[in-house]
Amino acid sequence: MIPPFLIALCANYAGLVCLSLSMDRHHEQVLGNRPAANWAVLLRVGGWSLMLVAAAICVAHWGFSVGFFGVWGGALSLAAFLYVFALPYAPRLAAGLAVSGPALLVLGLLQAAIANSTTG
Amino acid sequence: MKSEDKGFQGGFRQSMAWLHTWTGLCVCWLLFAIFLTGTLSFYRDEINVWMKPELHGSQADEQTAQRALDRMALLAPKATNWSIGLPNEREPAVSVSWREPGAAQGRAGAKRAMLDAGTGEVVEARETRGGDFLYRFHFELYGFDRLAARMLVGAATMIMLVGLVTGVVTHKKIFKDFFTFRPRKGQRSWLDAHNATAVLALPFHLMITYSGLLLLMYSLMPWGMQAAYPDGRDGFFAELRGGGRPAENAQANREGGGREGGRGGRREAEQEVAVALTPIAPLLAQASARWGGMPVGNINVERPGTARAVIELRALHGDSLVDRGAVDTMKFDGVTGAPLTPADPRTVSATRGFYNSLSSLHMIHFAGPVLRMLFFVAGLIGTAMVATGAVLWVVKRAPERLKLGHTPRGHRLVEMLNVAAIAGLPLAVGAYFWANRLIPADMVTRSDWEIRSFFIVWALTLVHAVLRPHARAWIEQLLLAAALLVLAPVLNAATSDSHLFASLLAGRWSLVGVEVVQIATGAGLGYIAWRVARFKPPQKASRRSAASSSKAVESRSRLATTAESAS
Repeated sequence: MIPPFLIALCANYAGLVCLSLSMDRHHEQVLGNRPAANWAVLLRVGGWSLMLVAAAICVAHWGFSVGFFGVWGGALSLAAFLYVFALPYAPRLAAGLAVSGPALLVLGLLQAAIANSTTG
Repeated sequence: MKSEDKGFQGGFRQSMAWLHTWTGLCVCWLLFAIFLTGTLSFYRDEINVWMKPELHGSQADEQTAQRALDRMALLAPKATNWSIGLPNEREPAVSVSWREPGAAQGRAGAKRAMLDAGTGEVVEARETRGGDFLYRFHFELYGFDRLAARMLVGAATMIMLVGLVTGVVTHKKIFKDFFTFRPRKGQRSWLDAHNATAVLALPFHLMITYSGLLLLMYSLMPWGMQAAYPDGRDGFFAELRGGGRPAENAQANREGGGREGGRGGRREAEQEVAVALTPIAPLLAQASARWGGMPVGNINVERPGTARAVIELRALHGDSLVDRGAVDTMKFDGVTGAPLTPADPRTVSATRGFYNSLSSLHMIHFAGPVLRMLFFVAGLIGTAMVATGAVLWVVKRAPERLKLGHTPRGHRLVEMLNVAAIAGLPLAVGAYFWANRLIPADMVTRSDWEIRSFFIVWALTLVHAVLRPHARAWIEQLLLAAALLVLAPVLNAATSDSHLFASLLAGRWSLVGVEVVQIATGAGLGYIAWRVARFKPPQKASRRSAASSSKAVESRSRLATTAESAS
């Protein structure tokens, strides 16, 4: 059972990494070149989507007031803090950890599907 | 036109930057203390438990509630009311209080005890203020007149709010620099760190500061309340509560002691023959099922041992922000166990709901472990924001000192206060933990001595900061604080029956959490001390380079300094 908080935290983290990579400075910092214009747009859309999914998970699990303002906002701050202070020391690792976001989302979906099929 | 706009922008921004710098400097040490002790208060219960090692062995099981009730029948058979706080993930022991017939109104009339959850025996825990001291300190300080202290904290909070707003205005590239931290670049790094700690948790900072102000509102500005209500605060709060809310009544019973059971109930209780209470387990199961699995936190029994006993169960915590931690309750007939008519649903006005939301956010009445952890982390980020701001003030003026060739008295004062606040307070907290274990458990007024140890050590850090060179003062105090905190779990193992591994194996997460955070904080402070020790101040570096380099370089660097100071 993956804790929903962990999924939300990692999805937020991945979202923030995508947003940062859509900016010239950080794309260069991590990958050594500037992002193409359409690639940057894609990253931005992907980043916001990941954070929205994280918000949805939090609201579904904790209700609106606690889930959105408390857990989602808190997880976003924590993820941003971890990322920003890891980025200059290990740019590739810090950005690479974003993979955990989509990975945990897929695992979480699988888990929910399995739970559904066994009960239903 | 365009340039005029720009000029105004610069002027506005500059005046905001000025406001940010100087108001911030005036209160940064107090704010650091408020932020740090306030952040620790999120784990007040856990700290309380850590500081009462007599309770560490308490292990709850399914029989705990019944055991506690049985014990109460022995401890206080004549009492007009029992209140039993059941153990939960934050507190391992049962806390009970009761009122004897004819006891004084208010808190003074209640008798209290702690029960071991596994045996039901009364545990004599050492006298300590524990985490409650840190909690009180963060809005009432210590040793001041209560109202004056709240005024002071309120003023600092107001300036904090000003600091947040002016900081955002001053921060030119809030979005462009959102992910930017550039280490090992002197002043630039401190500014980045100050910005990042502020921006990344800005919603938290705004919320905690604004809600903190709201919580102090009735103390800071009581005039409206006094003018509109002839009987002052009491009348105001009575109307605010509406008088009829079940949760509030129960709260009043718990705090002030059964209004209904206090006088009228007593006489009748004496006449009545003793009647046993119904078994509690089925009632707990019913209530928890009704509340969607939320466990029962509190059992209140009115008129225990009589035929008219009423058992009220209260949920562990609420699930909404709006009604300020008001929790679900259920009442049962104490003898038959039949549920009594359900209470009216809770209704809250919009204004009240707004106040409640913000105040319960501040005090996280409702929070589960995840949210509590997040608030704690955000609080630490806020503490770091204040600290980096204070250090930035000093770092930013390094070129000025370099040019002057000495440290002006004002700069030196800020340096000393920075050390005593930022390194000294964690050191004092560490000393507070140590005093808790080193002062004999049965000493009279030991809790006062714990608090005195805290303040004596904190005062000594200021003396030390005055006497020692700036960098040495930082390193020595940080190292000592690191040692005290890292070794606190060792001290616990040496002076109590519990230790970290035992707590881990027994799943006592509140204790594990406290000790892991102690070790992690200590390690963090040690790391900072190491970084400070490795750091070469720019003065020395430039002096060395000037000595070794040619005249041309020297004159070029002198040119650069004058250009910098001119701009």
